[in-house]
Amino acid sequence: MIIVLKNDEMKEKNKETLRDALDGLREYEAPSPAWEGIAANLKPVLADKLPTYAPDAGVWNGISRQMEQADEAQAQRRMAKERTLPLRKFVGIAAAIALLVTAGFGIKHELQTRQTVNIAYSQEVAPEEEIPDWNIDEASFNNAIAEIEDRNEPVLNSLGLELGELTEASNDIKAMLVSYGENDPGLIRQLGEVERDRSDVYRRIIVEL
Amino acid sequence: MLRFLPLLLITLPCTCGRALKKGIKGKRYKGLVLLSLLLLTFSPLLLRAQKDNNLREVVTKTIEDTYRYKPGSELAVEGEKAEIFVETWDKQKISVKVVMTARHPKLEQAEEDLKNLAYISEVAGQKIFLKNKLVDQTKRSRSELTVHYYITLPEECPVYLKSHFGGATISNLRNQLRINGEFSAINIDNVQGILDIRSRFGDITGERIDGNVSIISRRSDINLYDIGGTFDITAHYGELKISPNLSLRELNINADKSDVYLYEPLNGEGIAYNFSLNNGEMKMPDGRKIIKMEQTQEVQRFAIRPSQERMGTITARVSFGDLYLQKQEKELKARRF
Repeated sequence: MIIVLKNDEMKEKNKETLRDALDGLREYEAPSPAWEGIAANLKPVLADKLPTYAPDAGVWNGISRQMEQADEAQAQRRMAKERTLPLRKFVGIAAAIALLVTAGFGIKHELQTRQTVNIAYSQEVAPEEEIPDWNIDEASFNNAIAEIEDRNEPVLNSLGLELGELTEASNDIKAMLVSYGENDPGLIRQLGEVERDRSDVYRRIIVEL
Repeated sequence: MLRFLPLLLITLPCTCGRALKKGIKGKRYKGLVLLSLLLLTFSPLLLRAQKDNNLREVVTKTIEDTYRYKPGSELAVEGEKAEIFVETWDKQKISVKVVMTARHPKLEQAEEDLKNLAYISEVAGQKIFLKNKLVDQTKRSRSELTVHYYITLPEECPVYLKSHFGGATISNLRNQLRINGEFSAINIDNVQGILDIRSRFGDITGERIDGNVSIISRRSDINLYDIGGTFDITAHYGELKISPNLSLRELNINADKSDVYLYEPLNGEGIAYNFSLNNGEMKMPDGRKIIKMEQTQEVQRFAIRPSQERMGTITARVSFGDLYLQKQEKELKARRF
């Protein structure tokens, strides 16, 4: 008799008794040859029928090398990616700066449009060089100024100031002759006029002295 | 030797003439004739060689700039040993051409000295600054260096010029002009508006000027012709020659150690004069009624009242100089802007 028991749906009236009875039955262990016999009688699976081969050590080394290379390449890609990002940022910043500079130049050059520079060479007939000695009377002028300082009279002092102003102008023109060429006709003409005025003042000083 | 070449050439015909007279056989005349003929033959070459020796190299650097002009734009130029020329046109642009030149018998020297000349241009807001200077102020220039500015701009553009040696020539401006010159000749033609001119050791020459004008000068001669408007002139050590036109409203002159020449316009009897002289003499045209206000050994004050409707007033105070009033010989038309 087969009794199908379901935990909660058992309809046997003496279910508790029956369970106790079942629990009380003895347990038997199967002898070990029994299991071996069963295993021997089982059909072998296909995988067990295939032959097995041991690969060369070089194969594993190759695989290992390839895996290392793959890891390295991945690391490089990652690093490149890391580098690329700031470069892009840098390019962006540079572009912004360029834009600002361009805008600045645009504002600056809003008034100025373009500049051209040309250098030309030619020849001309050189004028006669005649460099006079402008310092020939300096000792006389200095003596006059020293005399004016000694006497300290209003009229002479006024003339002394006048002579001093002209001497300063004369020195300014002489400095320009050094900087811009000692043969400059315009400067020489100006120096001549100032020296003539100096001589006039000097003569007036001599009369007063 | 070459400087005697013309003399030798002159003696040639005489020598030949005497040789012909005496006969060409004489040894002395033969030699002279031969020498003269040789000189005559080679004289063009010798003259050419002399001319070549006197040549000098000219290196010119030209910089050209153009600026857009907008109302409110101003131009300031600071020139040193520079001739500045300012002209006007009807374009809304400012054109600047700067020519820097070095002259020396050796090309390398001219090039080297030219490098010591620098031109600087800057734009700050509405202001345009142009300037030239020496890179190395202490360098002695073996070459003759010159700088020229050629500026063309709209007539309403205000201009400020500072010139240290050189000169400034300005024409046809209509707004504002300021010049500060030292050792620089200033020439102004057909300019109207507000003018402020300071000059030391640089003569001022002006023609057809009208507006509010202020001039302060020292050691400068002033020549003004055909001027109208209001003028204030303070001058020390100079000679002033002034010819106003009939549109002159006011002219005030303070001249110290300077002679003043006033040329009254034809039909300008409507001008009133007030003169003051200290240690000076005056010369007035014949037939003018002079009212004496003060007369001492040193000081003279007098006035001339207008004989017709008052047109303008001229006041001159002259110390240690003479004053002359004369009639103009040519009629100047009144012009107002």
